[in-house]
Amino acid sequence: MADAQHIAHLFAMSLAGVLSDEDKQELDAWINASDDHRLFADEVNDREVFLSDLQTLQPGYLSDREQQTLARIKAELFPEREIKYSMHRIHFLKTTWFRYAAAIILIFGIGAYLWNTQQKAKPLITSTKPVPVKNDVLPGGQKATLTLSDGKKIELNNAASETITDGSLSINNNNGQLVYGQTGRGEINGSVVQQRDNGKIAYNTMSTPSGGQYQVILPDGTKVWLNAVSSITYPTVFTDENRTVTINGELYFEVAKNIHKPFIVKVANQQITVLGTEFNVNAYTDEPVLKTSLIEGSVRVGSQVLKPGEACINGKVFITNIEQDVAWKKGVFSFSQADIKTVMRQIARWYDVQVKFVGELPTGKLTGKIDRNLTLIEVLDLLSQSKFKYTLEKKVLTIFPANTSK
Amino acid sequence: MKQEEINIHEDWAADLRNSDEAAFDKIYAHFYQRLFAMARRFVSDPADAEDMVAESFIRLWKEREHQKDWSAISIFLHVNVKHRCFDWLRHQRQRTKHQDRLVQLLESNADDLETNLVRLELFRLINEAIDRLPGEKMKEILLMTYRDGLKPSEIAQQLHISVQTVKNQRVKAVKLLREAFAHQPPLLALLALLEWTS
Repeated sequence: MADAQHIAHLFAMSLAGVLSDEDKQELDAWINASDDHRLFADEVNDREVFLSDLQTLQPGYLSDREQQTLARIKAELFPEREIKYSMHRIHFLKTTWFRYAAAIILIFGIGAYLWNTQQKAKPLITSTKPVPVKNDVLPGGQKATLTLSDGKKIELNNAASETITDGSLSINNNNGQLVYGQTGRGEINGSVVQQRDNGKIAYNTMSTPSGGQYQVILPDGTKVWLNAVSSITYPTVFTDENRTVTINGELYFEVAKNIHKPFIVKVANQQITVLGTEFNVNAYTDEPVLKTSLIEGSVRVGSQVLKPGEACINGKVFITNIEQDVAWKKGVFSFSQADIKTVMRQIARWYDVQVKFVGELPTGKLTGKIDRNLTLIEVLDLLSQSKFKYTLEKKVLTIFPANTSK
Repeated sequence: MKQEEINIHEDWAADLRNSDEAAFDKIYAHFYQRLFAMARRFVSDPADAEDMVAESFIRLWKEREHQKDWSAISIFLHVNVKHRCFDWLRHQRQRTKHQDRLVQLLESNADDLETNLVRLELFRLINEAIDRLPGEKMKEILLMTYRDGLKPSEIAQQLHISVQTVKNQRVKAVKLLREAFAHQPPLLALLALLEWTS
């Protein structure tokens, strides 16, 4: 006997029009195995029959019915007891049917059918506007702080375009992106001005807070994306024989090609040397390891040379899941066999919340992707799945074991 | 089926024979939904379908001493409900073609245990998918389109958003739902295809 859940899943895919050939064979075999199976398949494909069944097979409806019917049964079996239940037959709420039937038809792409049969009757229950959930936390956004060479700090937001000046240098801030003059030189009146102050090179620092992300285009044209709780310090002009920057946190680089000036990333006590390439560095101090992943080009991490698709951790080079390493840049959380603490660290940084664990840690490893644009509660509801419970108060997220009674 | 599950079920069966009401309640909770789903397949009036299930459980209690084991209880309930459905169908004055086929099925005494479970599971998957549509806005737009029959311009007006947003949200919702169904292993959450393995 085939697994009922598996067959149901095949039917679902079939209805949605996404059944593979192999699966179709399997489903057809099941359907042809008996008259009963054949009849069922016809019911599923007969919209009217299927939808009329759907009316009553909704969880809320079923559980209500279940309770009331039990009360009725007891009242009949044990009349001497005083059991309350509603005597009259409960009339079926048409709106409930439409609600689900409509959505189903939508999934199965037969909207035309519904247009034909739907009466313009007013629903019994008027739709209410969705209520925003209290205490929910919005996802992170474009937020960063720019520290100029004289130490002055400027808040960068997703506001309209603005120009920031640092000495004689002009920097454009626009839509989550900070752009330095492409030549890497400040220009005033057509002549090159070196940003030197007492012979020292001027540095700027961009840093993102918890719940922030930003992008900067460095003076040489290198593009850098900063994840939350990250920073990068760089000279306002690359005048040295190298292009050296210092970082913290998680950053994605698209380094501008310049064979004559190697691009060097300093992080913790490591050094990554780059030649025109794309790579990601995960150097959060609260993550167990520092990971550099290469997408394109070539980098040398310490003494190890990486090829695209490889990553370096603690001097060891191995093939990595690049999609996952750079998922954050594409606006997605991506987990692969991640334990709950790892998951929550990322959540904490993006939603700017503090995470606490009470009681036994939920076991289990998470694999999958979540859109970073969801609100915190939306994400938690997707994550928890009977693996844990949580409370969210102000900016503190507390995780409890699933079997905690509230 | 795990050994523990089998043991528990046989315990319930034994307790039922000993007139343990708690065991009856557990048996009820175990079978109610699939029996109701089965009855609904044959009987178009949900209230009638419910009556049939209720009557069968009442019968079960009254004949509790004769229930040999778990399997006997399961068969008893299913057969009982089906007989009532059969009677109900035969008493329908005008049957549809589909109902004729249902009568045939009942007469053939086919074992439809598996089909019932498949049905139940399929509806559960669908309900779950809809429920997991992200954001109230998307759900609201879908419902307003299909439940209330509103045009995108009308929806846009009511929700104070642009017509394009309405259209985009609809397209997105359908895509998400299809995607959700398209992935192995079994359907889980939309947007996030999450699986905990322990």
